[in-house]
Order: sequence, then C-alpha cells, then structure tokens
Amino acid sequence: MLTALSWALGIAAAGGLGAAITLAALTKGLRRALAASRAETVAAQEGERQAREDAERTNRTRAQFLGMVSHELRTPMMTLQLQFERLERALGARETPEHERQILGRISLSTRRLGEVVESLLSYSAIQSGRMKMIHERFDPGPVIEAIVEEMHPQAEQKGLVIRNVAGDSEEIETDPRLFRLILVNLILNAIKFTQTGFIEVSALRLGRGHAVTVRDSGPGIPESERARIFEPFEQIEPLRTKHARGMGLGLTIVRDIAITLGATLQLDSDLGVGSAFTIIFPNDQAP
Amino acid sequence: MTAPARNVEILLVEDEPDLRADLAYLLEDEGYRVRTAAHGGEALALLEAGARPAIILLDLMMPVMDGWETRARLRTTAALSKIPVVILSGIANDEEEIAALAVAAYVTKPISVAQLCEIMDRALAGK
Repeated sequence: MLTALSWALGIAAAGGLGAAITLAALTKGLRRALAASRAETVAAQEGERQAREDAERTNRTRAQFLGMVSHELRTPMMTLQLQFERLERALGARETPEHERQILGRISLSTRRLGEVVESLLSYSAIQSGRMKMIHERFDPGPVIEAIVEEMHPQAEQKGLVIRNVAGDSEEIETDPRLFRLILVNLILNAIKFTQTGFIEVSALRLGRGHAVTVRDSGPGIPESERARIFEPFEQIEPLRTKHARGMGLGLTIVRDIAITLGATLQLDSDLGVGSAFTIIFPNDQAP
Repeated sequence: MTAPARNVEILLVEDEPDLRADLAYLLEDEGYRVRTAAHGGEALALLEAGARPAIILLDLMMPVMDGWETRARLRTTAALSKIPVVILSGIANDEEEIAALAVAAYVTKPISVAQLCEIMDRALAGK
C-alpha cells in the first residue's frame, strides 16, 4: 500500500506545478483509501477473532454435551450390569427353573447389546467432533481377545454360529485398550450380523511390521463394488425396510475411524460365497 | 463363590445411589470392607474423622464436590496424599487429563466387578 502511495505521488509530482491541485486531490484520495483499507483490515481481524471465539465456544459446548451424555448413558449401564450381577449371585445359590434362567440370559444379552450400542454411538460422536480420547498402554492382547470371544458367544449361538479364538501369537502391543476392544467387538458383531451359517474366527499374528488381529467369517462375502461403501456411515448393503441384519450401519465406520486414530491399518479380504476377513495391523513403533 | 482374602477397607465415593449400593454390596461379596460417600465433601469429612481406607474409588462427576476437586484436596493433605486412588468415571479422558489427576488407575464405566477388583488389587500391590 505504501509503495503504491509513493508511486502515485511520484507520478503526480512529475506532472509539475500544474498538477498541484491534482496532486493534493490524489493524496487525499489515497489517504482516504488507505484509512478505509486499514479499517477494513481491523474489521476483518475482529470478524475472524469473533468467528474463532464462536467456534471455540461451540466446540466447548459440544465437548461438554458429549461428556454429559457419556456420563448419563454409562452410569445407568453400569447400574444395570451390577444389579444383574447381584441377582445372578443371589440366584446362584438357589434352584432356579430353566425358563427363568433363560429370561435372565436374555436380559443379560440385551443389556450387553445396549452397552455396545452406547459405546459405539459415543465413540462415533467423539470421532466426529475430533474429541476421541486416547491412552497408550502395553498389554498382551491374548486374554483380551479371549474375554471378548467369550462375551460374544451367546450372540453367535443365538444365530447358530460357531465363534472361536484361534489366538496364535501372544506378544504385548502398545495401544489404547478400550479402543482395541471396541474395534474387535464391532468387527465380531459385524461378522455375526452378516453371517447366516458357519463360523467366526478370531486370530492374532505377530508380523514383522506389527501385530495383526483378524476376524474371519463364513458369510456371503463382499462384492468388489461394495468394499469402499461398507465403511461409510449408515450404509448397509441391504435396503432398510427389508433388512434382516440388525444395527445402525456404524460398526465398520467406527472400526475404520478408530484404526486411523490409533495409527493402525485396516485390511479387507473377501471371497464371494466363501467369507470375509477383516485384519487390523497395529504397528510396532507407536509414538509414546 | 469364595471371596479371596482381601480384607482391606475401600472408600467408595459415588453420587448415584443405586450404583453406590450395588457396587458396595458386590465388593463386600468379593471380600473388601466398604465405606461409602455420596460426594467428595462427604468423603473428606470421613477422612478428617479418621477413616484411613487402603484405597479410594472415586467418581468424577458429582454434586457438592466433584472428583477433580476431591483428588486435588487429597493430594495437598499430607496424611491422605499416599492413599491410592482409582477413578471410576462415565467419561473418557485422554492421557494428559488422566496424568493431571495422578491416580493409580482410571477406569471408564461400565466395568465388571471382576475387572474392577483386578485393577484395585493391582493398585494395592503397587503401593
């Protein structure tokens, strides 16, 4: 701006005395333009600051809301689980009719499923708002996988599916244990959902570049053309009204997004009519 | 079920009445001795009156005095700063936020009694 001003003055001055009035007018005009431009810059900076503050406030409100929702959903989930456990311990000592045991089993299953939906929705919103909370811990994934497979047993059994842990290598990995669990639960639930007969198999394998955890199923397989879409939120291959697979269509999106958050790689191998295998590779060198 | 010989005192600080009662019941069933407080203020009053639990199980979001404030006060009181604290919260926090609390463990609800006991036993052993 200043360069432009001196250049304009230079031109005007070169015009000589006759140009004095023009020079004065030009200088005045330029000064005015300069002042206006400064005012505009200040206004723009003020506007930017305002927008940034608004965005920060919205972000804070959103994070606060997410924290509140998270607390309000997880607390009664825990109460439900504890009350169920109390009831089970109380009944353990007594003779309970078979049909009552079955009802208890169904309550337990539904509670667990509700818990998984809650966790998935909370994670999805945390990822969406860029507020996924993460920790790093070293742990042996073997027992964790074993416990999850055990937990998923009733859901697989309900569909007449066999679920097994063929574990394999056991070596510590460094990642977020809660998110590791969430990935595995969602992959297994996805496999149970879309497999009509056969098995679901979970395995862990030590690779040169990391630790691979695979969930393999004997489901219908995923056509090449659908392989990108299934990771998009709310997308399921079946149309909504006639779908017989349960769920929100968020499972694989959550798996993909958490994998990205953890710096892990997601791999999909699928054969039509044979089955699919989803593999998560946790890298060896995680940033501490 | 035979309870392992835990026989140590836990102070459970949790504002949700059902959760507090059920967890206290189940932890006692697991062999611990459990005292309860509905919020940080109540917990500190118990401690001031001489309670010396082996471990404190602390919720974060609570009325009257929340878990963060409670933790800060425990840390600045010489007689209480050594008692290991396990946070049991409905909200996930990241490493920085957890580190700032300086606790033995941070647990996100819901968690099974078995898992919680395992974490507490580890915290007790690491003292």
